[in-house]
Amino acid sequence: MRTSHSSQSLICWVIKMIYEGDFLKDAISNLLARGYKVFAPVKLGDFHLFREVKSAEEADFGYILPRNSAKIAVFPENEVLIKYSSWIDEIPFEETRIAIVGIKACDAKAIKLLDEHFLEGFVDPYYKSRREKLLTVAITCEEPGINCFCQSFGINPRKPEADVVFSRIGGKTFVNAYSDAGKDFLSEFNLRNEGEEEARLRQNFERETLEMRKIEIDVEKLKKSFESSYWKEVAVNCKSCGVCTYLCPTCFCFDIYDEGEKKGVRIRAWDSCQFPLHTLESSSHNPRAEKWQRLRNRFYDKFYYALRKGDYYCVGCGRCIDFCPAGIDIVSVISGVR
Amino acid sequence: MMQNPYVPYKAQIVEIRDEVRGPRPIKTFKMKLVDRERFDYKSGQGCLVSIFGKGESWFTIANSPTRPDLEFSVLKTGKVTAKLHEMKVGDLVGIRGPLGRPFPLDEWKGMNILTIGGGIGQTPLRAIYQYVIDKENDYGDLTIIYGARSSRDLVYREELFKLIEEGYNVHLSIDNPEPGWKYFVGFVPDNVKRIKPEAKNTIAITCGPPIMIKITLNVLKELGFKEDQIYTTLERRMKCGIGKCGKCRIESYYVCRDGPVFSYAELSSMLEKI
Repeated sequence: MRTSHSSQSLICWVIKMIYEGDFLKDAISNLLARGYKVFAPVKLGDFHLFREVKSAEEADFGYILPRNSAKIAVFPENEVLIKYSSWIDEIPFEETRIAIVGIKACDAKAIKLLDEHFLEGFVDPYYKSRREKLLTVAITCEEPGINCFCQSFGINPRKPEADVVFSRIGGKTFVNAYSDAGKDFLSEFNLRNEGEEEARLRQNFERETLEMRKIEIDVEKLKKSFESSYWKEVAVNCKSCGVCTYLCPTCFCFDIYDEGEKKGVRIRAWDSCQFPLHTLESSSHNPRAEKWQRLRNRFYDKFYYALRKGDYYCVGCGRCIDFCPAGIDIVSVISGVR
Repeated sequence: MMQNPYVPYKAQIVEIRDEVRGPRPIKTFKMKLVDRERFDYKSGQGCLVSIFGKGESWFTIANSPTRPDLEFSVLKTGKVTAKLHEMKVGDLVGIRGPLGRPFPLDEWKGMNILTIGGGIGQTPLRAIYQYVIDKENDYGDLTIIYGARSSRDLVYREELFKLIEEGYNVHLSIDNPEPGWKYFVGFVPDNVKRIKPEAKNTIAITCGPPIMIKITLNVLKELGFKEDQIYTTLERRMKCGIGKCGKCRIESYYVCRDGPVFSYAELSSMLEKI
């Protein structure tokens, strides 16, 4: 059953098995029964959102990508850091184990990038408390969305970096575990080993490159074009609404503020570099007062500044393209830098 | 550093000094940690001062670690600072820190130190000149150039007048003439131009309004200062203080964590100009 796995360096063991039944729903039921807080896609009208679910029935897996990213499981839109009155009353921490069921390869990679940010240097204890109790059950992509470009970053949408990976291939349910936590989780299920023919089927599925958009990143050109008027042109119709950062699975900026005068909570909530208040100083000086400076910041942040750490902070999910009210398209913007 | 870096230490205000009165008042608060001994910090580092119900604000520590106190000079400008200005001796606040990268004072041993400050920007420079005065055998000549809009806007006024009396090389300025003012009248960069500090074996540290820094940099370059001889300390909007919230970021540098102290050589290698 155990085979050593060499293609993904972080992974020690992998088990590859077949499940008869509705694995994703059964996984949710199992996790809920064991006290997990479960995040899964919920269908709302014609789209899906990652949400906390209380039953397997709430979840629906007929999507390419939920509108919001799965990062909410480890980095919620807002959370209480400190409860206070005259001094600190309580420091709340996540005690519950957390699972994301239905995460795709792009969001799974994004969590690795968030790990770099929140766990390196000063460790963020709130993020860590969730992250170390997190189990990810991923779904492989059968088809890409119209604005998907994850393969540009070496992400294989058919092989997400998750604890457990679910695939539906040729009418069969394949479940693989890529970590000890994933292996432990799968031991809860009645599975059989995949046969030779099935293994071939799965391998072919995993190897297949999907037809999707491709982003061309020229770092040298980016470096030279910082002062280019290109950025003003790109930003002409930008509304500074921040939806790109809000939906982005790798964006991590937040604000901290107090609610309640004598008694209250110190909260952190997602913030956006697209908002002028994000950087406005009390002296009234604002280092990024113009919207084109803020938009430029977002692009350089993802494709130039973050490189010092060795990665692009983009996973090609395409959400910022799908939902930008001004039609600003990160693939065209970056590929067309001048 | 504390275990949960978002949780402040408890501190008590033990002394309040009015530095500047009027519509833009500045007060210096001397603080003492309540549950622990003073923490170790270095000149140039800062703290987030926390008032529950109002929020947190970053202040550079206003005095040298060679002095026994922990001081912050606060310009009243927002929610937290307005509340601080109402507070009395004995009141409690929270402190997170020390945070950030300090001035490399050990590397500067044996060199002349030149501080050029404007307005409240004198605060981090005070943490330098006090240090250099207390360790005078380790450093060459100390020159302090400092200016404000008017004589009433000069912070640490009495301390600076006393240094002049004691024979230290202090050059003060105000923007417009005032009766009885014995020192330079004009902008800080012009005072630097007039004094013509020697660039050789000298480190210049400048802090003040962005426009003052910009012009001062040009003057220093004309005087022969190289980019790696010039340092500044940056101000940005900050929330977390530990390089997570993203507000103070310039490129991949977090001013709260990788600064606030930067050499001009470092700043000029960045695409986004300060």
